[in-house]
Amino acid sequence: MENFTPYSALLGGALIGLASGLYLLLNGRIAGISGILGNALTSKTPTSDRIEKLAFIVGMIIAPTVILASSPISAQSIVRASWPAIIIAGLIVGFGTRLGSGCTSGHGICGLSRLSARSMVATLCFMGAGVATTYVIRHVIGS
Amino acid sequence: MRILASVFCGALFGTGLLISGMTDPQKVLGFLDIAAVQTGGWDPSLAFVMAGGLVVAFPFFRFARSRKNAICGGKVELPTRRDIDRNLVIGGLLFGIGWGMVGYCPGPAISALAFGHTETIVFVIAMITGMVIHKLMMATLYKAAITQK
Repeated sequence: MENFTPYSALLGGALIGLASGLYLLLNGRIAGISGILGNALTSKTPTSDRIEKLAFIVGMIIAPTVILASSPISAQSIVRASWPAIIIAGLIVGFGTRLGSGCTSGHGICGLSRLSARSMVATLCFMGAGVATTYVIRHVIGS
Repeated sequence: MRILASVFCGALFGTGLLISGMTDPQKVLGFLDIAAVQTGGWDPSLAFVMAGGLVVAFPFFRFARSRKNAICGGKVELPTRRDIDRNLVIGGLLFGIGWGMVGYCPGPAISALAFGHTETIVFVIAMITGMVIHKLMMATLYKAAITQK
């Protein structure tokens, strides 16, 4: 358990929860990232709505950029997968989150906070599939 | 006002993702790798991210239920669907497979763009392509359904 970081995990999680809660109170919307990104890309969404969603995405990129540039935080983002795997994973994450109407934020944080049965089922599906896939890659193929 | 609130909430969200460690795929996979419990290599941190998020978000969602209007204007729009259909399950499973393959889900992948790695950029482009494919497929299915009638 040498990688276990309970305090930064709790603090980061609390900030994510706070951002979701504030977004709901201030703008009246669910902070589901796949929905925000998907709707920002769809021409069916009204322009003012699209700008708001793009603004959220811009905030999501700018804040970590500023933090990484200005503080000695030891955060990393290491991808250990082949190029085909990265592309296939990206495609099915994009397709799957739209088909299932949500991801870790929309179903996981917001949905479970609303005690939605739909989100509970979705969360069990992607958690289960994530655990199974990691198992196969690390212990079946990788062993 | 709404745009400003969006940038602010997005920034808060991205900061949370970075601090929590979610923007590191190896940290995420360390959580999904439950089989590593036997060797003491399992990293339960992600459960704490989820717990922290739920504890803070829950009262906001409770409070918002009794409100019709958002503070920055417009209505409070909460999802109304209750049905558990095939798309929800298949979509969730597909997403989970992709998540386990690389360790990125949509939010962390976007915020991890801050690191500037080519792998992240390629993943996000593929993810957006997947969303566009879904949109085109739904439009085609919708048209086919209409012409059948």
